[in-house]
Amino acid sequence: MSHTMEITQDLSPEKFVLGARAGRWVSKFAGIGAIALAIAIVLGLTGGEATTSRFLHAYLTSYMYFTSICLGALFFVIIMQVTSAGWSATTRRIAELITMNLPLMAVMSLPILASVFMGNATLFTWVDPHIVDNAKPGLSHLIETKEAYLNPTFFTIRLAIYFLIWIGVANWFRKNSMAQDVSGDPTLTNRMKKFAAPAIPLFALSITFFSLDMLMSLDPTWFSTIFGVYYFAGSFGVFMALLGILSNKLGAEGGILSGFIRDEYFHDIGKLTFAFVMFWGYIAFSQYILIWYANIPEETAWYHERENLYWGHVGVLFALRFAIPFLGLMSKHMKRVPGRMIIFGGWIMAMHYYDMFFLTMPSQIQSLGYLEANAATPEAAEALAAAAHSFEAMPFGLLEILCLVGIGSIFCAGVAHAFSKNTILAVRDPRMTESLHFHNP
Amino acid sequence: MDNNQNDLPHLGLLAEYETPEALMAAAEKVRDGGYKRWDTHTPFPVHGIDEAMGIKNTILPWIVLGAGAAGTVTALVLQYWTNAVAYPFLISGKPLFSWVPAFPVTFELTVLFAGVTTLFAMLGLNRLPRLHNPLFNVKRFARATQDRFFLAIDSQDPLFNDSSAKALLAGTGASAVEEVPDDNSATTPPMWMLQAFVAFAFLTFIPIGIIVGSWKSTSDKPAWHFVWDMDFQESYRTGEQVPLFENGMAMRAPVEGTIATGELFASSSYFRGVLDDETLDKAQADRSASEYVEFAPIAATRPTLERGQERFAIYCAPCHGDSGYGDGIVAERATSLIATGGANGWVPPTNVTTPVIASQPDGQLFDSITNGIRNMPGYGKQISVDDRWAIVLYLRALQRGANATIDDVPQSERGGL
Repeated sequence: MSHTMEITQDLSPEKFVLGARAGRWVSKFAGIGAIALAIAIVLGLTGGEATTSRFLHAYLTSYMYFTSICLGALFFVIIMQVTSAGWSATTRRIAELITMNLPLMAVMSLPILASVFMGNATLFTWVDPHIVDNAKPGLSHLIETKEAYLNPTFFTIRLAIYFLIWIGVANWFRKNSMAQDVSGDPTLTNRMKKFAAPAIPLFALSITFFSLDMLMSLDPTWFSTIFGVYYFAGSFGVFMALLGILSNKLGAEGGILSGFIRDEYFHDIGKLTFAFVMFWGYIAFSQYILIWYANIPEETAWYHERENLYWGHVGVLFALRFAIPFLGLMSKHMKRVPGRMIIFGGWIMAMHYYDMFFLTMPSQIQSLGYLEANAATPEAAEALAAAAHSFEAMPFGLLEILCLVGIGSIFCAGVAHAFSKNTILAVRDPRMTESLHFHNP
Repeated sequence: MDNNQNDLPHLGLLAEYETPEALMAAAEKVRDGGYKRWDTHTPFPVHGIDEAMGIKNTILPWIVLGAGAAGTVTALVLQYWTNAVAYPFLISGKPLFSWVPAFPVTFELTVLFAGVTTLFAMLGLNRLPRLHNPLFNVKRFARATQDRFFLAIDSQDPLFNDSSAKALLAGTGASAVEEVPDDNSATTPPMWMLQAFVAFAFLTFIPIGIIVGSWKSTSDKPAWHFVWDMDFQESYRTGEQVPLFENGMAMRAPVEGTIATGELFASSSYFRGVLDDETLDKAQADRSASEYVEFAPIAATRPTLERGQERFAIYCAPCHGDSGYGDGIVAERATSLIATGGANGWVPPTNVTTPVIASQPDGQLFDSITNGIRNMPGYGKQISVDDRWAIVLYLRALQRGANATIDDVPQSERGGL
């Protein structure tokens, strides 16, 4: 039906470069991020073992949070190509630009790798099975059997592989998509679609093992086969929430994409956000109910830490991360009316941080327990015990905020840089005509 | 549609278009013309047609939301009431009602209620099923399911004016505008359909009637077998002859040396406190003291006696009392009830420190504990063999204490008395 449709908008590429409007933020964000991270690192490394443990956990929380946004963006690029989605031609470039942050996230993993390589078991206890064994005799046997997989060298190699895959895939798609801005060659679209299919299993496997390595191995004796999907569901959901916010901002009256991203696009982005709120809830609940029902100590231990020991958080997480946005995003008016998606987009982004916090931070309870049992002096043991008891309240404090602001600002600097230098719209995408005339059924 | 108030020879106008874009443009014009009773017909859903036609948002989502919420509430109340109120049954230590296992059923009922309501509310709001439409009388309308797009204005529309409506449609780029001929077909369903419906409705009562009829009636006929492979399983039964095994028996003999529960014959004196098991075949009153083991077959060490004391306090003291005088709390309670006319038939527990009991051999005490005596039940199932012997040894200590003389107290301790 597109033969009678025409594009009335001006699609010259230079119109869609934000330039200084985004560029002036780069140095500001980078500065804030560098200062916040520097303070966090100094505080984290000078405050004793318990503080180091807390810093590393807080860093990992924020790191996994912002990495998940990049991964969500990458998946968006892949899935839109593989489904030949017409509607997303106007928004896909935003996702492509956000994946430019993946190399940045690879660099940001260095503090985590450093802790692993320096034999610091305050984050990943599997780094040193002996401290585990001194605290809970016999437990290190379980970890030693996993040593072929969970060891610093292989851990680093795997991390490098994941990032090589992601950066490679993301760059390939972006390169082709941007080449199309110049040539308008529709065969590029066909090529991208063809490559998008094998990119999906590649992405699925890498994000699964990434989440197992970075989050599940925090408790090396615990396992959940649905864990990778859990992280993926959250990742794609949080990216859609961010895309909802960005498209509302960029597509608003006077925005650079005004007229290109309309209510119809808000609606579709909102639907995908809603779907992945549901999907996250479904996966999170599936994991929980099986463990709850079976009630096997080796599985429940993980939830025990989060629900009974100090953190009455499982139900709260379900309510905040699932129930509220589920009810809130149900209506189509919530998704379509310009600006409204910002409310729940922001909410979901905040709750995804809470989710990462929930996955990461309680593992300190174990780390501190091991450190306490291995403390050189009784005084040190007492200090560690006191630190463990401070978890009775939700430990969201200065270190967590500094890490969030630090990594977040650097992430924003990366996004601002990408937006300032590149066209923000895939101007000569062959599906642009279809996209601009897009209506929801 | 059959009462034509405008006295026109037709029911309305039907315009045909070749593309959805042309239809959309026409729909916008008709919408802006202020018409209310008109519709479009397309072979596939055309995105944006709702807006072009000026159709208001349907209330269907609210109906579905209400039905979904009703499903949620129904599921939660149903599960709470059945599990925690009507038939509370503790399963593997789980709470009687918990949100976690309740969730899947709640989800299912929410979806079921919402889904079924969506279907029927949609049908109802669209006044479906509708078996006949006068538009079917226009021949070219058949292509509405193939490759043509139609717009029909009903002549009953308050704004309808034959010539102006025709002019409007002609100006929308329609490839054809045609009058919809008056429809003389029946407005009621054919008779056979009604009859079939009534017959079907009656038939549905038959299974319900059978269930109600057999609900409380009894029958001496054998039960119906609905699930044959469950009622008559492909397995051998006890005592059957089978070709599988050398001895032709379906049942396998136990492995040599197998000891079934309660059939341990290893040592009469240790396990049963008698010298010969035949003693146990006689009534307790007919046995002589010499038939029992005289001394407990375990060593009377301090830990053993302490163990005996502890077990005695748990199993025996409630009736026999801490010192064995027969004054445990159960006995005291029974005595106080007898004073007010209760606890009929109560036999007071024996004072186990009397010379009569003290003169019994160890094996006899062991047998009394194991199998009970008179009103006292046997404790062989609750207390292990060694513990029973430990109790016997502790009993000896109690008897010794109850019948002690000053000579039993060491010279050095007598001053403390």
